[in-house]
Amino acid sequence: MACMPDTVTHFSSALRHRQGAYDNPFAADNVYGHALALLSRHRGQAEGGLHIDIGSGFGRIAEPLVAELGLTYLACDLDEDALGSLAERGFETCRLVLASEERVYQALVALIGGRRLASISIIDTLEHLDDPAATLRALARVAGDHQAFVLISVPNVAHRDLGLRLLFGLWEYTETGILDHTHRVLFSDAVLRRMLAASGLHIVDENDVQIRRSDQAFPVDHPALQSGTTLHRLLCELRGLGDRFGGTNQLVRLCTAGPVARALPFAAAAIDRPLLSVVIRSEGRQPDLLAALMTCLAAQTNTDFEVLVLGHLLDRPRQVSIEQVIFDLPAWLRTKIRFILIDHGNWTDLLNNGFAAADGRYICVLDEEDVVFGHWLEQFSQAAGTAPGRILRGNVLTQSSRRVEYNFATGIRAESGVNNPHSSAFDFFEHLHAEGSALPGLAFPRGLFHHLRICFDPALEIFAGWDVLLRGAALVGVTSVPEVVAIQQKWNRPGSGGEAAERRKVMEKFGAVAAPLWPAACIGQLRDRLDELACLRQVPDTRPQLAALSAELAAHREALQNVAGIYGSRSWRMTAPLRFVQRLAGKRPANQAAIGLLSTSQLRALQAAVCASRSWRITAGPRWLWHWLCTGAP
Amino acid sequence: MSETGACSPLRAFFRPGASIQVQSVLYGNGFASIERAVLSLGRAAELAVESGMAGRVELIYGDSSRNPCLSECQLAQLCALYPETLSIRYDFFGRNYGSARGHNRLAEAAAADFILVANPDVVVSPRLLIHLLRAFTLPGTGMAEAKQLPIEHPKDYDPQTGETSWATTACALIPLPLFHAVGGFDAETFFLYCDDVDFSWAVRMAGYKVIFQPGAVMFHDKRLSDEGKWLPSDAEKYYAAEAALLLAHKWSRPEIVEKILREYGAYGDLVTRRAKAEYEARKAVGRLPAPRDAEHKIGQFIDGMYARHRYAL
Repeated sequence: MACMPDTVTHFSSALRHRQGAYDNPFAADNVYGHALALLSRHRGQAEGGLHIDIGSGFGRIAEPLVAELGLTYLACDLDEDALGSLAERGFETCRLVLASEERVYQALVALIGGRRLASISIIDTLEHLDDPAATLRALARVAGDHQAFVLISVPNVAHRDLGLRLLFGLWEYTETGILDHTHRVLFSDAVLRRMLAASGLHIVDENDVQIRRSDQAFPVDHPALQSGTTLHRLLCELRGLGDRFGGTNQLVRLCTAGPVARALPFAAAAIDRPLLSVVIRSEGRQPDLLAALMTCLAAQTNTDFEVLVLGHLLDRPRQVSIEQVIFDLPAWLRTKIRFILIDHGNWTDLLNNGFAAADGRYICVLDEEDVVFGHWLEQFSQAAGTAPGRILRGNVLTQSSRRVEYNFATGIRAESGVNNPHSSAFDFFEHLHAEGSALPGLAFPRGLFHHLRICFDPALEIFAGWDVLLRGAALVGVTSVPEVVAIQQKWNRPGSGGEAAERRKVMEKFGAVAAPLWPAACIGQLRDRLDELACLRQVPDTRPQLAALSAELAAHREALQNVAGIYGSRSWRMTAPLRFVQRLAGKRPANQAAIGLLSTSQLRALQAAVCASRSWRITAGPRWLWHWLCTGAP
Repeated sequence: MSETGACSPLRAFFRPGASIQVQSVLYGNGFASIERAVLSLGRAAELAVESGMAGRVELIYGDSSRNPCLSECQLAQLCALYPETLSIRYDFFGRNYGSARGHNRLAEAAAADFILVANPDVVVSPRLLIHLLRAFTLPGTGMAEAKQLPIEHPKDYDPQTGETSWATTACALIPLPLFHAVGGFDAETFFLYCDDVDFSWAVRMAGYKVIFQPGAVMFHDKRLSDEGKWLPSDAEKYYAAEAALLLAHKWSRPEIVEKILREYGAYGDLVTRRAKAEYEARKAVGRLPAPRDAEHKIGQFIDGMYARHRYAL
């Protein structure tokens, strides 16, 4: 067996560290078990033949791998003890230095000889190399020669524990683990993918090792790292928005060789992006509306935008009608447009596809019926300058419209004046209760979608925009542009129903975002209180009527007391014979028993009549005298 | 042409390969807005010519500004945008002719089948010329108006035919012979506003129809207040107030003139009072136009507007 001479030292430091340190046992839930499971899933192609394990260490995967897949195991490492152990266990070994691409390739070709190569593994080794991309390129060439698999494992420095620590200025290497002090290159999912793509390796399957608390979860009494704290829950929730690898300890991927998919194995410099991506949904049924909207875009005072026309479930004639509208446009505008056909899903899927394809720093959504003012983009541009990264919100009016058709053409006829249904400044509290913004007035920062994965929910047919706005506003905030920037033309279409159920779902989803800070029950209670408040606002204010009624009652009581006081007085009783005579003469004073049925005005009239009666007037002198005697006053 | 229209029998003005002079009057317009307009107009001209409906399209600017809006370099830049399809000429007036007289001057020298009277900052949709020309395939069409964005004018039109009381000349196509036949815009009476209302009524008095074409879309950069209301400048208010008096006088509505004068006197602000004073001064020196349409068959004065409006703005 021909091995490369030990001419370079790339791997030596790792080996020195490895001596006696990396004899990890095989377990179903560690990286060895995950690697074997991956190969087993594809055993149809991997079974039999030769398996080369590069950076094998003590190779505790060897026995299970041979037993399960029937492969011939060949270990490559620099550590003599490790190779000695494997040799004693009956496995073929080779001392291999991971140097330049060409040397590694030639060494592996020589090792394989005339045998059929089924698979290569390189487990937790790449991170120790100065130039792991060179090794990957060599592996890709060898794997390509044999149509063999390449199994790769690297530690994931994007595990949430490292992020939580770094947030508070903590960064420590350890003897072993994710930040092993001998690591030369730090990997995340993105770094690994980029390096693989630049090496000609393509991921076909993955079986990452998940560890909730990694070896970096220290100091254990740090509030950010203690799983029961609000801070920990909040930070974990935020980390979860980034990608799905927050709990991944090791990235374990199965690859095949193919064309090199990118030139550089590292991130490119910042891309020069347009300010705004305008995502337009179209079913190709109303090309005249699309043409009108394009005219609005052609009239923008700021032209730093791109346009993505999303054709949804189009048949050929409707596709052609959209293409015709685009073809008709002036060249400067036509070159800003991408026409993307999407033949699945509902309109939210459509938007998610559009947002994924958008290159702009901000992304907004327009429908064919929308009309935007000439300073629409200019206003967004100014607002973006004052508070980068926030959602931008302008004021949107609505107007009823209908379609007319004559003189060989169709057009839109406005049927009402413009309405202003939303407040001109964004009110987060109001948005907890109702959809208070319109999509044509919103520009979402691309990071919300591309980095925090705030997407349109396909389960929401009506309020998907509100849902994104609410969750997004909670994370990045909203900058309001008070100007009117757009008009939504409304057709008389029947409602699709289901608004109440969707409203509830929007609030539930917001509750999930806010849960780390506000318990879900608190969000629910807040929502219920807002609903009650809205109901109460619809009840007319009855306080003025109650006050008037109260005054009326007081007046009635006073009139009743006055009349009752007269009828109960000694003067009135003393003059009863006089009234008896009058009754005989046919005059009938009011029945005392009936005064409870009289109205206030009738009581007052009765009081006036009684006071003017002869029987009452003739007792005025005695009453005065009695009053004078009792009170001492005239 | 007589008061009741002597162009009968009514003809269809369209012919394939029609020539069009697009004319705009500049007044302090910035180059960026002019360039935007030319970029859109040139494409509309290309499509109209490709379709065979138009044969030649020429753009002429008259400049009423104190200083020229376009330098030679900028003019060359504009000419280079569509050298094959859209030729551009520029006439610096050296004085402010206003809208009516400016357009009359530009039309005087025109040699085309149609003139497209347009504001210099409008951005037209690609098929605007085609849609407007189509209106003239129908006999009796005397003027075709484009639909404005972002705010559609609220005046009513027949949703089956497009027939309307008057057309705004923010963007309207007019057969040149008819333009001359009705005497062009009344520049003696109207400086900036209502010249288009007056002209439209003159076209209708000649027996032709004014047609609104909703498929012919153009963008006229208007803004609204934060509450969604119009934001007219003082100059706009003044000329609109003055024109309201003059239009009512010219179209034989003395009772409306009196009513407006009373209102301006009683409730008006400085702007409307100045308009009232100007009207009275004209009257005193005999500079008011001769009234016409004595039987009120053409002119419409409805709630202070010159057509029934579908809604208020």
